[in-house]
Order: sequence, then C-alpha cells, then structure tokens
Amino acid sequence: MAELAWLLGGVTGEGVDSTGEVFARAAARAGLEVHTFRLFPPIIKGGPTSYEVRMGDRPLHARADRLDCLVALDAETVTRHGPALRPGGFLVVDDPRVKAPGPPWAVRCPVPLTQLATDLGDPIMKNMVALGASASLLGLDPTALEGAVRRRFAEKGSQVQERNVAAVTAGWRYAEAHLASERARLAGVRSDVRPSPAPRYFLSGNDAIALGALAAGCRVYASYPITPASDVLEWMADQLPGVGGVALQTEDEIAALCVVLGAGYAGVRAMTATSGPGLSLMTETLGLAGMAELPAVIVAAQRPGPSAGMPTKHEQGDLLHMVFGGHGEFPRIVLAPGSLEECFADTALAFNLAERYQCPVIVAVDQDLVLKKRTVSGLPVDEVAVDRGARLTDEETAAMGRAYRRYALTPSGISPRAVPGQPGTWHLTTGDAHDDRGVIDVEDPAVRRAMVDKRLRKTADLGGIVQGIRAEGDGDVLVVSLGSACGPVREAMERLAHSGLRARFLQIRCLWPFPRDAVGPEVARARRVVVVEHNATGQLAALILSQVGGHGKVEGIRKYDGLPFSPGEVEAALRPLLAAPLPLGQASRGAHADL
Amino acid sequence: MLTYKDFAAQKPTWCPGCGDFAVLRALQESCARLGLAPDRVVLVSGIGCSGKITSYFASYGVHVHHGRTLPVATGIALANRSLTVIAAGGDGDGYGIGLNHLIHAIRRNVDITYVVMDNGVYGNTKGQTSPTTSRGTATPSSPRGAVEDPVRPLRLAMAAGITFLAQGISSDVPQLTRLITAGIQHRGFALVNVLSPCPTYDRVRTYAWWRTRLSNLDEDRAYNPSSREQAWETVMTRDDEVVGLVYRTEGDPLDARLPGFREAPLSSEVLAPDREAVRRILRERYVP
Repeated sequence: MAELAWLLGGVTGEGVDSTGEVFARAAARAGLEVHTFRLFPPIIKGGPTSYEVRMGDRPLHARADRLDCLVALDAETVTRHGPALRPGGFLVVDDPRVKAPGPPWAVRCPVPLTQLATDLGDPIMKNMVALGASASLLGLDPTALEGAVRRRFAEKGSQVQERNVAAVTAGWRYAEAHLASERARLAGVRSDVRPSPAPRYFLSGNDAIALGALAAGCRVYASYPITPASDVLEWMADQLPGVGGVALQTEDEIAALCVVLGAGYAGVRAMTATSGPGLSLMTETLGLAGMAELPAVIVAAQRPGPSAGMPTKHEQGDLLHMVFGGHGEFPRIVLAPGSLEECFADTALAFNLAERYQCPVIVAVDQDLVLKKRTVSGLPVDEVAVDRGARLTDEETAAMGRAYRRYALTPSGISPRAVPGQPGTWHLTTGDAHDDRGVIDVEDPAVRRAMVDKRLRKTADLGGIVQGIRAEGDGDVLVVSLGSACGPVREAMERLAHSGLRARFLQIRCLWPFPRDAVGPEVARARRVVVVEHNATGQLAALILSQVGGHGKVEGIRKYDGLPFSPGEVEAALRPLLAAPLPLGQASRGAHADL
Repeated sequence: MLTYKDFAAQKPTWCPGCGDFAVLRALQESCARLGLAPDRVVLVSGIGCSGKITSYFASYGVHVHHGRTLPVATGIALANRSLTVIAAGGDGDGYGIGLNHLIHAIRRNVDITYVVMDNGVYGNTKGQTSPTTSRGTATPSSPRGAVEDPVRPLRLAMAAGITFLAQGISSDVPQLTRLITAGIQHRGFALVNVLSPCPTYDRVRTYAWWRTRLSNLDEDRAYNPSSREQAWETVMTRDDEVVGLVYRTEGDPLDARLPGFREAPLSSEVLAPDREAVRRILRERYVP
C-alpha cells in the first residue's frame, strides 16, 4: 500500500493537536485517506504530546509502524519518536533550538521554525512554519494545505488567517530553497500515493457516536466529564438544543445514568457516555434498569484501569465488567463496534434495542476508537431505523385501566409499556422484586422464579437484529479481535497473506448476549484460535472459552501498555503462530504472547 | 371533586404510630386539593421505610435504589414537563447516601417537590444512627453515643441556594398539607422536610419532645418567608427547630433555563430517524 506517515511532537499547550489536525485536514482535502493517532498526557500545559497523521490511497484503520516525517518542536520528541523514522525519513527540527542529532538513518532537516515565525510577528506560529516545511518535503498539495489553514483560523478573522498562511508559506519556501535535495528523495514514494476525488468526511469515533444518537432521536443526554468520553458531552451540549433536547452535566456518573433512566421511563430516548471509573459508579444503577426493565443507552469508552489508571491511554480491560458487572442477574446487551461507521450504526441501534427489550444497552468502545479521527466516505445514515418497542397507545391504556399489568408474563418476556401521563395505567416501577403488576413481592418463591425467568427470556434471542460477528478470509487458524484492535489485526493479516500465511478473521460485534451460534462453529472448525485484545488477562478469550469452549486451542496476543497495537506488532506476533499451526489439541494450553 | 382517597393504593405496612402515615395523608390531600389526576403525577421514592410510600400512593410511581430519587426524578421532569414530579425519601436517603444529588438538584432548581421523612434513625435496618441523629444519641451502631454532629437540612438547603424551603411535623397534617401543596405549586425545586418520629426505634425525638422545642413560623406575624436574611438568621440560630414556610423566592426553574428546550413535553414527540440532521451536520462540521 502506498502511504506516508507524519508526526508532530512537542509539549501540551503549544498547539500540537490543532496543528496536527490542520495537517490531517490538508491531506484529506488533497484526496488522501487519513488516520490520526494522538499521544497525550493528563497535563494541560507542558507534558509531552504528539499527533500522528497516516495518509494513503485506501482507508486506514491503524497507526503507522514507521514515520516518513517527524517534526520535533523539542529534543524529547526526537528521543521518543526518532527511532520510528524509516531509513531516509525526514527529521525536521526547530533550528537551532533543538540540537538532538536523531537516528543516523534519518535525514536531518533543520529549519529555523521559531525564527521564521518571529520574523513574521509571532513565535507561536512556529507550528505553521513547520507545517509548510514538512508538507513541502512530503509533496503535499499546497492549495489543500492553504485551505486547511484558512479553515482553522476562519473564526479568528482575515488578519489572523493571512498571518498564518504567510507562516506556512515561509516554511514551504524555506524547504524548497534549502532542502530541495532531501525533498527529492521521497519522490518515488510520493508518486505511489494517488489521491481520490471522492468526497469524504473527517471525524472521530466520539463524533460518530454522537451522530448515531442524534439520528436515533436521542433527546436527553446526561453525563459527567471523563476522558475519553467528554467529547460526546460537549457535542451534545452544542447540538441537542437545536432539536429541542437537553444535555445535562450531572454531579457524578450515578446521577447521569439515573437521569437517563428517568427520561427513558418517561418515554424519551436518553443516553450517557463514560469510561471505566464512571461505569463503576453506574453499575449500581445498571441493576435498577435491569430489575425495573427500563431502557438506557450507555457508551463506555475503555481506558487502562483499575482506578484512575492511565486516563489518556488505551485499553480493553472492562469487557467482563460490561458483560457481568453488577449484583444479581439481569438482561443486558453489550455491542462492540470496531470502526467509526460501526460506532454510528451501533449507537443508533442501541436505542432500538433498549426500548424493544426494556433493558440497558452498553456500547463498548475504547480510547483509540473514540479519539482517533479518520476519513470516511460517509456514514450508514440510510440504515438508521426507529423501533420504539412494545408501547401502548393512550386509547389502549384508557381501555385497560387498572387491569394493566406492567410486567405481564409473555412468551417473549417483553411486556408492553405505558409511560407516565398515559391515562388509566398508573403503576409502580420498582427495583424491589415484584409481581407482574409491579406490586412489590419479596416473599413468594414462585413469583420470584417467574419474574427472573421473564426478564432473562427477553434477550435470549435477539432475533437477528444484532450482527454478532463479522468473519472473513480462510485458514485453519482463527484470529479473533474486537473494537479498535480489529484495524491493526486485519492490516497485519493482509500483510501475512501476501507472504502466503492465511488465516480466518473473526470480529466479535456483540459481547452480550454472546453470539454462541455464530462463534461456536468458527471455534470448532479452527485448529488454533488466537484472540488479540488489549488487556492482560485475556477477557475476550475467557468469554469465548466460557460460552463456546475451545479449551486447548485458544491462545492470545495481548497488549496492555496503554498504546494501541500497530499493524507491525500484530504481524510479528501472529507470524510464528500462522507459520507453524499445531495440529488440533496440541496448542500450548492457555498460552499467550504479551506485547 | 377528588379526595385523598383517590390517591390511596395499598394499605401501608409502617409500624403503628409511624409519622410517615401523616406524610402520606398530607401528600394525598395536597394532590386532591390541587385537582391532580393520579395519571399526571409521578412519585419517586428511595430505600428505607419512607421509600415504601410509592406502594401506598396511587400514581405513577418509581421506587429506585438508595439515595437516587432526585436524579431519576430529574430525568422524568426533563422528559415530560407536563407531569407533576414529586420525590420522597428519608433522612438516610436524602441527607446520607444521596446528599450530593440534593445539593445539585437545588442548584439546578429543577421543578420537583422533595418531601423528606426525617426521623433521625435508620428504621428499616432496625435503628442505626442516621445523618440527622443528634450527637450523643445511643443507637445499635453507636452504642456509646453518636459521635458526629447531625446534618442540618434547612441550613444546608439555604446554603445551596434553595428557592422553596419548608419544614413540617407529622403531628400537624393540616399545616403539612399546606406546605406540600405550596411546594408542588412552586415553579422550581421545593424541599419540605418533615419531622416524622419513629415510634419503634427513637425514644428521644418524640412528638412531646418536639412540642417543647418547635416554633411555628406560619403563626409568627413578624416572620417574612420571602426575606432571605430572616430565613438565614432563623436556620442559623434556631437549630432547625422551626416549622412552617421558611423561605420562598422566585427563581427560573431548570426547564426554563435550558436553551432551545422544547415547549411541549419531549415525550410527546413522534420520533423518526433524523437523517437530514445528520447529513447537514456532516456537511457543516466534518468536511475536511
């Protein structure tokens, strides 16, 4: 695949993020597919930060293994990211402030970034000078770059816009004048990357989730700020008033989910988004949703735990919490989108499931999936449908009156809902054990059994509404993954296939109810099952073993250092497993490779 | 013409003599007096003896987990502005496990009436210390006397910026009915703290004990409940030992503060996939 990777590194507070985004937009405007990856600390000013832009001529779903151009605003960036430069890659440094030589295989390109920016009136524009210089080195379309810069400063007035365009131009001209021979080195690579004229959008997983919620008719959003889910709160606060709805920042995550349950109970689609610490607080309320049969949509973007863990980093360590967390037994649905498009579709679908099955629905995502921005040709907007489940009309409730049974025992377990305000059918909705009328009954064993069975029956069969898996490729090794890890895994498998090492790929799209019927035969057929996931204990592997078996042939590739897999890492770990697949029953039991 | 009986559901199982009977009756009288239909009222209760009130009160009821009445009620109030939303709970529910929510509900001035059955004891778990138990009181969980000073609900509510604050006592149902009725009529958050003695586990704070201490602000001609200064002075100097309307002021409720908030109840909206909105936002925000 023809591709280029660019990385800007410095410290937080000097505009690395916004500058990186301008570069990404410039590449997208030039017709390239773009994938971004940010590394940032929980330090608002002065901590090491970076913004990677990977560009190519087909959709990208993972961070880069090697860099073509590294722009270092400080020496630490050279130390941290210099080793990732490919031989002949450019190391652009702020001359003379950054003296670090960088790796010997890189081409050092000193540019007086701060000096050129100061000459133009403000040293803060050194980022823009860096953009111009590095874009010139990589041969990025200057018109696209200028357009992205103008867009970035559109709200700041034409004077600011012109100054920044001048800074970009100064960087570009400096590279043309002083680095022409270096620039020529990459010509071969550049000519492989063919821009596409197709229209595309550039957005994050959080953006896609928020859009999915809006498409599905979410009108109440309640949450507490938490990395990496806060973007959704800010998005909703901006957009929900436009459709008459409300985004409420609550005092904690307990209140957030309670507001969602209250709104859902009263017949309004509501959602919250959080991360592990918030999900822990919500777990108590999750039980109320289960017992009282209330709809709720909870987006849970995982980050490394336990406790505060690594707030700005990546992990998939809350899978079993989402599936099993909480006291007592109750139905729940846990969807696991693996791409931006799936984030949109699954969030929209979650609202239908929550109302149809009258239970909490968790959209399990992870830091990498929700924070990285990517180009997409579109979102599956036309596929969004609204299904509000079994709801009674006012005429029906008036006719039923006191005969209404909120928790009527039905074959499906689903009891038609009446919401407050509907005539005749006032009733109790309770977290205590209750009978089919909603009357508290904490004594009768037969009622208890009937009501537990009724609740669990609801999600016993999701009737094909939820796509449990996505499978592709052939081979006697089954590689299983989920969430954002699917991107690097599939890219690694493509590379391995080029060298004749083929395997079958299985994405788990729904963690609960576990898609046993779909996964079971896949595991049974495979000689070897390799589960690739971002945690230390193999939670997805444990779920597979407990739900469909596969003892003796399930292995794992696990990474839990806070960083998402790169395709090269997965490729290196998978290669020996594909190269020498063991006969059935001979796999090293429970073995896993940690990255 | 509605009567309190229109709001009667199951027969209460509270202990004989429990103050909560009076709270239930006052709530029923208030709703009848206001001509509310059981279908248009949502009562949200928590855990404890007080939490059982949703089983005894005829309306849409939500009986939630411990301490979470107010955020659940907030969600309901946002979803359907045309409903009367009342929350009810005990001192453990509201001033212990759920205290955080109380302060923020006051701050939001969400249009909810919150009736707290304050008996100073954890009755449902057999008599342990509660947040409003007086210091020094011996209970099964503080056999040598409670070591903490009690929560002062009235001071706390004033400090949080409440717009309607009242205190009643279960021995005076007519006054309690007036206070709850006024609380429901108030546009914004109303706290009605009710001194509701527990005859089973509290031998100290009996009706007789309260009678010697309480003064009735409603009968005090010099007291002006719209004066913040008088209310402050009262709650700070009289140890919360007053009944009547403590403070009332105009303040815009949450639903009136929200930008763009739908006039008609959100719950009445017929939803269809909002594809056009998504396409518009994609064009406006996400073209690189």
